[in-house]
Amino acid sequence: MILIQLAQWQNPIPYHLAGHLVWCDQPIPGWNIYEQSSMPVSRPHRPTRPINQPEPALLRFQGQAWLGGASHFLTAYGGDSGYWLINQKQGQTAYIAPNGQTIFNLSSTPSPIAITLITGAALILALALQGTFCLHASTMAVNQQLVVFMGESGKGKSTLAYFGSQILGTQTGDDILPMPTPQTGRLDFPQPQPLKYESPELPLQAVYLLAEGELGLQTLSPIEATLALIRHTVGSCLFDPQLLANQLAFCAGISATIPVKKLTYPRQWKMLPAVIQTISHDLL
Amino acid sequence: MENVAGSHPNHLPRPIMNITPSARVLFRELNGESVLLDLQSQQYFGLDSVGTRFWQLVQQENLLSQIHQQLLTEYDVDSQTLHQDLQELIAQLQKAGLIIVHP
Repeated sequence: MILIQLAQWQNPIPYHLAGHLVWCDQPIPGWNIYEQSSMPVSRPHRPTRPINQPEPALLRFQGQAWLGGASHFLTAYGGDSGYWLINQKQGQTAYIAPNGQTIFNLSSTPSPIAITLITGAALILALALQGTFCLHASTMAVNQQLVVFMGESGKGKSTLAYFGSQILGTQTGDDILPMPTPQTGRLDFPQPQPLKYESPELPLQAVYLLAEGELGLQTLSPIEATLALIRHTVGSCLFDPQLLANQLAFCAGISATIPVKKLTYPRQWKMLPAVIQTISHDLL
Repeated sequence: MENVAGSHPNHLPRPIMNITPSARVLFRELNGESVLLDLQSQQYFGLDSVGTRFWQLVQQENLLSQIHQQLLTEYDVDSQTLHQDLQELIAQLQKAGLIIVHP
């Protein structure tokens, strides 16, 4: 049985992350800029009874997962009253409330890996429970508009975003991106490094799926776009059927309102200026 | 498809063939096409416009013969070609566990 230490509930900290409220039981390094200045109306979710280790039937995921830049063995349970537990093999456990607004570290000996667990898998799940899904993607701002690059590892999305930011003098975000919607605009996310846009709102203009080939753009059909967005969603192995359904609706909603295009180009450094120019023209 | 007692034409579906969507499948239409999500396997499948129309009909009407007849009225296709296309689609959907076929 896992018991929540009452002391952990004394001074929870409200953070504003990716447009959502997330309570944490402890200060998270690097998150101070996301701390809410005013106390939210809603309070952290408190279980009405001690948290039990969920039954094996409630196991959602068990296996290796990338966490903080390394592969770790994770176990995720969907609790009988809607909460979630994510265990990391080294003994760290994160509790996520049913509404996704509370993440508590249940580990008796907090460690850097516990922070990584909270800022990684636990936060991704908490945001998903609140309706925001994260992409494995890079992003950059062009003319005060946000564009997102997604693609398999090694397809150049980080390189392209970095290069574009150097040319255009804008800033980039990388790796795990809470997917902005036309309604929410730009979203803050501190993992693994804070995004540094100064503007509080940047509209999402386009999503590009990177692939190798001749330089060119091809608009994906809604179904192709939706499947591409789903395929590049982070943490979906943790999702239960309801979250999977929400993820499908979320990605379908984006593909219905935001152009999702396949951007092909030769993987050569000398081609990057032409690629950035292609993107700039596409956004005009 | 097997002929029923030798009395049913091969290019028409057996009237009693019954199809129901699996309860574990989520359907979402996207601009005339659609995505099927198998909630159990967490696999996604895409359907083109004709496949999407077929799925809509399966949700409303389980008898393949009636679905076949309805599609004949909606698409410029002969009965035999439609029958073959439907058999291929049904086989794929059945193999993926997305529909349940009752002979």
